[in-house]
Amino acid sequence: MTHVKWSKHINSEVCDAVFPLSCCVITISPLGKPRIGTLTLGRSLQSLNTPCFLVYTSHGAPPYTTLDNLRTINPKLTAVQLCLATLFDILITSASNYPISSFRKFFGLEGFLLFFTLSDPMLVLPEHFNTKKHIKINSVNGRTKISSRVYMKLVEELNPDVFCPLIDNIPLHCPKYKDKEAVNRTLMLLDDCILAMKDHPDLQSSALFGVIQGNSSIEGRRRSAYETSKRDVDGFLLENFGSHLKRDVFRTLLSTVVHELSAEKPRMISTFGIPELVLDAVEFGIDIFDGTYVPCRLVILFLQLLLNLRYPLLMAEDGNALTFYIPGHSVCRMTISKAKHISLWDDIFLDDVNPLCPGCSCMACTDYSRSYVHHLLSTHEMLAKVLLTLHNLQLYENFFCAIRSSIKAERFSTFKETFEKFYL
Amino acid sequence: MTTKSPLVFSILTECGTSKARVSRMILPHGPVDLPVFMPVGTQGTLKGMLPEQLEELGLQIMLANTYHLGTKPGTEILQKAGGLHKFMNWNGCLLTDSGGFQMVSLLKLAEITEDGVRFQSLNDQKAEVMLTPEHSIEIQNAIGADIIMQLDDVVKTTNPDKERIEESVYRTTRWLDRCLKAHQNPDTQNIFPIVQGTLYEDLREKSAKDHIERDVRGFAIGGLSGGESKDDFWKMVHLSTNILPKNKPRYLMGVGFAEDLVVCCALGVDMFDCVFPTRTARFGCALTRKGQLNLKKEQFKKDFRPIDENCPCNTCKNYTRAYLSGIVTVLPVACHLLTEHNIVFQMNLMKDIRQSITKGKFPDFVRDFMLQVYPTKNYPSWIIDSLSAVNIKLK
Repeated sequence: MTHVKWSKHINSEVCDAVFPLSCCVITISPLGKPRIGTLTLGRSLQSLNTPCFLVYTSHGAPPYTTLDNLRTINPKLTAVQLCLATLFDILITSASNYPISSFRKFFGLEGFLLFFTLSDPMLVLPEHFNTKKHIKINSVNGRTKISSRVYMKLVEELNPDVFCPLIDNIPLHCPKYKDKEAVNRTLMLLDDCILAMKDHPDLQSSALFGVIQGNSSIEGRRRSAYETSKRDVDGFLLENFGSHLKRDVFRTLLSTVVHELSAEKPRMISTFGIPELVLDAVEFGIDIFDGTYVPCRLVILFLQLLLNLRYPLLMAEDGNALTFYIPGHSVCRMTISKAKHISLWDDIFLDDVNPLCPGCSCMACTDYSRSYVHHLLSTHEMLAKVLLTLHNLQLYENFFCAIRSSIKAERFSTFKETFEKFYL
Repeated sequence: MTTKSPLVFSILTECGTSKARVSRMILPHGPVDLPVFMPVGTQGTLKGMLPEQLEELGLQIMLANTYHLGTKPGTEILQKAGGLHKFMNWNGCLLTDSGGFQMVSLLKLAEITEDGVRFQSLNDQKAEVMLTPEHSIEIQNAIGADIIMQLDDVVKTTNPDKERIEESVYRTTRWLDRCLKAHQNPDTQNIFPIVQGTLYEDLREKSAKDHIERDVRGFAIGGLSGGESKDDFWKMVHLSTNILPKNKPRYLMGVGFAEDLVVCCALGVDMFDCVFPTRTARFGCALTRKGQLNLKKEQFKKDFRPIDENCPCNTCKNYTRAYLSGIVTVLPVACHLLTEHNIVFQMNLMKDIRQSITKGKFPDFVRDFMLQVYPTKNYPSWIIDSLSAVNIKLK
């Protein structure tokens, strides 16, 4: 089983022994929960500085840009998230017949750190499709049953650096009894998974993240966190957190969950990408975020969630460039307003020769203008979303860099306050 | 102080057998190796490809459409941006067409008069707009391409009315003169006239000879990219290149299928453009020397070869047909990957053509190429005839 090494040296980042297996070193800031760390993953011995975010992919590629284009982003983005939900068809039809044993090569993902989950964080489940006996997954042939055995085999062939077991994935809004059942079933599936690891020796150097369910039930979350923590896992994924919850509610939930988790194991959270929420989560000790904010903005309204399968008001997809202010980092000198993002569809940008976000050093902002991106959107040209995605990824990475710097300098709470004040 | 000519053309090698030649054209934004295929970036962008990527591929010149850019974003914005090169961040060469072809083909209510083309605009006001030679050049001046096309009176080759075609030939020449007069940037932009005449030899000859008398640095052969039979097509190209001077580049508009490119190079054409490679990529088709692959088909889902084992593009280096088949209907990114491949395909074809001419092996290249396309040697008669006319025999 994979080992986790931890070090409690304050303000030191060096792990004093390099394990061939997955290992993680977390430094705890003396002032509270926010922490910076280095996640060194056994498979490729590449490390990831946390807090950080993963590049969301669908079918193995980021939504609007090729993997190759990611190299315009500095520092290099190496961690991507893949989900079975979007990969299933292509895995079953093609990848499983690939003569070379590694799925990574099939998807062109060599050199990247892969985080693999069942659910697609960009998709809001409209209903609970799983039954008491089976977990269901969408495919071109309708909803297919998927067993732990098949799931583990696919995971083994994919060879990710981090993976989550099969879970009972439920919608954000469920009757209370379903929440409770989901917690139980997810724990059972986790136990199945740990047992099955014996049959999959190749997965020994992949890290297993236990999934914490419970939706908005405090007791459910607590129990899920407590029980998952007792198992032999390398980290945790807080799923279905749902940024539609009121601030005090999710802060309570976060606090409840984190309280049960051992400090030395990394924590990941899904669909929690809006900057102010990221800051809240970092405050409570969350290390890894998914990259759903870049292509999409999370919906706050409860009703909209019910009506839509995917988060509406998508960022890059809807022509938005992120422009929020990063304290202490490059200031986005907005000539229009203190907007966290701007919609390039707006006619106000017709002849605006400024870059998307003045002060940003990304390729899109250095070489192109708002006027051009507006033109691309209004002529329905694909390049619009390529440029917006690359800019948004760069800005988001700059944001996380700034978070890490501020924690290291023990100034995180000031950083957070400055950010919040700017937008009041 | 003498200003350097905005187009410097030099022939490097001539094929001893056919009319093919390798040459080099130096334009204000850089050199272009000929024969060249120019991909079409209609709205000032090439289907999702970053200009940086195109530069890395070695692309030297691409096309943009005057009609589209004149509508959106319009001359004012282009002028404010400092021209299309700056607007789209493309540092290579650009060629713009006049807008005439789009209007006649896209708009139903186009009426051609001596003044220009009157049509109903597609914008909300549905105003009547007139595209005149002067206005076309005005937009093209604002765009700032290295080569700009005259507004021509283009008639479909399927139109049998010889009087109408004769009218179009004379009018095209008159419009050429108006374009040359209205041109604001003769030192940085080159106007190319367009030889018309559809399928009438005498009219084509007349059109070409009239244009030769003008002070221009290159010529286009127009009106030959749709509707006509291939037998008529090649004969008109052959005739045109026989009349047009050798010491200036010849541009055949709207031609882009691989075999057409090879034949027309043999017939002495230097420049080509076509939407086909980039358009077909959007529909999931990848180009190879042996033909097109429609990657949407089931048969590719378990085909783990790259599109083309010999292709150096990123798509072929990193992905298999199976993966592309899996994403082609689902991800927009699939389009970029196929576009890149198709562009590299066209560029490689032209590079092989140039290299074979330089080495004196162009006829061999043509034979090998045709054999790949038609492995059973059932060559269409127009290909046999056209190559034969320039002394290349297909066995």
